[in-house]
Amino acid sequence: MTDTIIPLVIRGRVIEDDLVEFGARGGGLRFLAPDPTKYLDQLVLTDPAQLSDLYALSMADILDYLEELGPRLELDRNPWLQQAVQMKGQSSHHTPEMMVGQLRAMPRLLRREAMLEVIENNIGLEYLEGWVEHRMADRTVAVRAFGARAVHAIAGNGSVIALQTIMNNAFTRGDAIIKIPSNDPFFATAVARTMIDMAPNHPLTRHVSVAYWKGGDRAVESFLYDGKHIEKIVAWGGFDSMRSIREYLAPGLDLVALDPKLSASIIGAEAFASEEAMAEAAERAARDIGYFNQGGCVSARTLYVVTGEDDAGLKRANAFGKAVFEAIQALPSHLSTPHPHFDQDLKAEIDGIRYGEDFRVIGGRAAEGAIIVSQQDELVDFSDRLDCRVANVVPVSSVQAALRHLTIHTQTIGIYPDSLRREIRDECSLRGGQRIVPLGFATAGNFAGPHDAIEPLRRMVRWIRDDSLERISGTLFAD
Amino acid sequence: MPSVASCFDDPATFLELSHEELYDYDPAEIQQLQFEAIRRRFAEMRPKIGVLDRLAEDLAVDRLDSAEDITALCFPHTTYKSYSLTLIEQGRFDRLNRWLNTLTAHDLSEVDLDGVDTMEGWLNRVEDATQVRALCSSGTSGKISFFPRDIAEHRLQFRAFLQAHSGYRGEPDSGLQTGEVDYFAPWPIASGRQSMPNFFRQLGEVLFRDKPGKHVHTLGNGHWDVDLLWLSGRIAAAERKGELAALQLPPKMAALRERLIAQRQAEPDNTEAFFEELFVRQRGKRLFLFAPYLQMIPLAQECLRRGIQAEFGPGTYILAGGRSGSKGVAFPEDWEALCESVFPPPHQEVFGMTETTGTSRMCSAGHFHQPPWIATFLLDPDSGAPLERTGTRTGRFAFFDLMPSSHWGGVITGDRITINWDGGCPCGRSGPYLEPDIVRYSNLRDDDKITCSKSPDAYDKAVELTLGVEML
Repeated sequence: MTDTIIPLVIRGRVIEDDLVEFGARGGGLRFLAPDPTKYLDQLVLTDPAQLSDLYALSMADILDYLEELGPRLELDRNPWLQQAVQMKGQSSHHTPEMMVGQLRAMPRLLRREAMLEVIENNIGLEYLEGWVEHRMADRTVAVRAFGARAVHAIAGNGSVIALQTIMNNAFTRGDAIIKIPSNDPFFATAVARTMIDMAPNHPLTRHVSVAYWKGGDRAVESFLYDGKHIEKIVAWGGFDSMRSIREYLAPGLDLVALDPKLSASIIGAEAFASEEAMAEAAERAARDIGYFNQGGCVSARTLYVVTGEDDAGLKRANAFGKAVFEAIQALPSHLSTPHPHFDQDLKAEIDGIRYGEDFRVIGGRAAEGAIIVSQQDELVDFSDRLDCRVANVVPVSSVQAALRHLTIHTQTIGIYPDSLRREIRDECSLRGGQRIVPLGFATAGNFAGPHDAIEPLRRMVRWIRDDSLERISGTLFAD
Repeated sequence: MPSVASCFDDPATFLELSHEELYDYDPAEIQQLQFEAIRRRFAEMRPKIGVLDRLAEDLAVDRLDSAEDITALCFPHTTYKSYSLTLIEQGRFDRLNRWLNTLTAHDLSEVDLDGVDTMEGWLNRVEDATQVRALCSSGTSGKISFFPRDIAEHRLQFRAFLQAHSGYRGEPDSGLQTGEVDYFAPWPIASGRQSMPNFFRQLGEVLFRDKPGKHVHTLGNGHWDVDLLWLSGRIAAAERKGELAALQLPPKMAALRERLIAQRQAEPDNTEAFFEELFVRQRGKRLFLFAPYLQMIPLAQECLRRGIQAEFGPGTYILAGGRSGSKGVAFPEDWEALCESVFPPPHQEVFGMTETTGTSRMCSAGHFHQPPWIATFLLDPDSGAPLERTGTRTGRFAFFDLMPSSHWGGVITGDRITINWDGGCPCGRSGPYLEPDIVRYSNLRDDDKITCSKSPDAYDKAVELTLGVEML
């Protein structure tokens, strides 16, 4: 029996009653949380007009609030975050050092200029502030972005997603029910509690709830995922949770799907023209694979190297694999380490192919990570489960052959050399890729701009128009 | 009376013991004998199994002094599907054959592969030229694993099954080993290379060989090609990724279609024949029914619809199971009552897997006991290091099977198991025992592995897809 309690936060209230035990992935982390079925009616905002208190605020008020929250999320002065680090320490795929490093960077997101950059690039401040008039041939249309009541099913592989969700909800004046993941139930709760400490009755505090239920729990989801109670579901999720959510979709309920994605690298023949170029490419590839222990969807997992598939090409690919492996081992410990909980099913896959002829395994003895070099243009059959600093280097005969591997599930594509990037970015996009970066910058994230080929902030709001027509007309285009 | 200890020189002699004799031993002595026997196997097999030699050389393990040494040399279950998928797509059966050759002591290098263009064709040639009868199963990625058991080992495994289901003290005796009871399984196919149809084949070849008439009754009478199994795995993998529409059917599958159409057309008649045999012709007779709940539920529903109530003879043995392993499949709410109303309890349960000859039936106290020729280990789920073999512990299940001599017996499974090492099960069997709560580690996350209990469903999907394409 565990004594870790994850409270339920409902609109400024912290609830620790009706506790039941939940278990995290892999049977590791267990915690107690209030039985969500007992609080469903309190969790939802039954009357959408109750969002009106948010409209008494100006965008300046909203940014003031978030700006004030920033310093309060400094780890050294925030007991909730300290507790979150301590509790997550048992289960995380990051070391405490790495986790602390990430948390320390987080208040920077709440600087005014950073927030304005996100708002201006993703939606436009004026649409959030009020009605924006557009003069058209026969009328004037005023457009405004309104907040929505939404469940945000967030991912647990990066705490930043929780903060981003809370920020987006504030920017858009929404009402958020954040469904926290079992692999990180702590961070969103810690931020919500900090907001309560700061301003318990502020509308922005009162429109955030944080709850845990087991994804797919019909008793909870059939009630919540109903057009009467929410307008949007913003879901970061695996295939299984997406499938269960899609069952509830009906007119009136909109899904903003941030599907699970995997990332790749394309490394051109130029990388193999000289020792220096190969060393540089290997070092950059190591960052894309190794930073934050490969925990993000942006982390590179498959690397297509244009070495050719003949003996000389395989030799180059194997040498490159070795260089990448060594570069991963040399990454600084606040950014990358042997995985604290190396996936043993993955280990079994690696050990299974280690002594065959079709793949060459470098490393992978314990938790240090591994590079698997395919000995022909083929991925390992477990390529969608590569993790814990394990990547697959795949020799290909041409850039075209590499491009053929990209699909709609490919998120970030790191490309080397830089000159190749502009050449192939259209085809990368057409084949499904969603973000193209120079090799080595995959994990250098930024929230201003599209994500997963959509603009989530624009999808999270309801776009309303108000038409002013001067002449009476019943037709589409007045004379 | 032969003793358990005396059987370690020739593990086949374990099968000459009665069920009671098999589980009457001193656990400490047996553990020591197991370790010694594993050492002998290592010395014998290392020169014959390429992968074992490479592993031992790589880890610099030359002596098996401890559980650490032994488990370090156990093969992960993934070893048996470690070939490259392009070999199949490009029809490189020469290389696939060379790969399988590194996992068996039999020499596959002389197998004639001329003109082979399907997996079924390849395995037929292997069987023509050698003793190897590889068992096939389909995994998460859609890749098939090939487990190279030979004819003699299949026989031993089959006899071990009969032994496990013979009487033990007050526990029921299946009677199957006498050859006097008919065997029924509501399975959609009768032959193929997966565990179940392989078992049907053993029944026919060993138990009922000299008995005229039909004694193995399955719902369907068709054959499931390895190529079709491969396709069903690909379908499952594509479905998981939401890419089913993009799945292309390889042209060589076309040859299968005609037979599948014939099999499908025969289905209603086969089903009628199965019902007639099970509920009418054998009424009042003792029989053996293997029906995991996933198969028993639809069978019971159909019985209810037809107003049939099983009237089996005394001593009938119903082997069910699949309660806990049925994750991901929603059973109807009243399934237990439904099954019991049509098929009167007791229902026996069993634990086994393709990679082991050591099947065990759930004992009267609700546990599973591995036979003494299986040395069991638990590994730390995070580090992979063996756990202390004392007290009650939970970890990844690994074992060394001493029965086979043509492939390496050490396997690291994907299962999370709890073992009580101190033993003392009230059923009376000596030695450690397994708790019944067995789950795959990958199921603790998400998984869609086609287990043997789920394969009929996969079969249907594969047939539908194959036939569907033909209709275009």
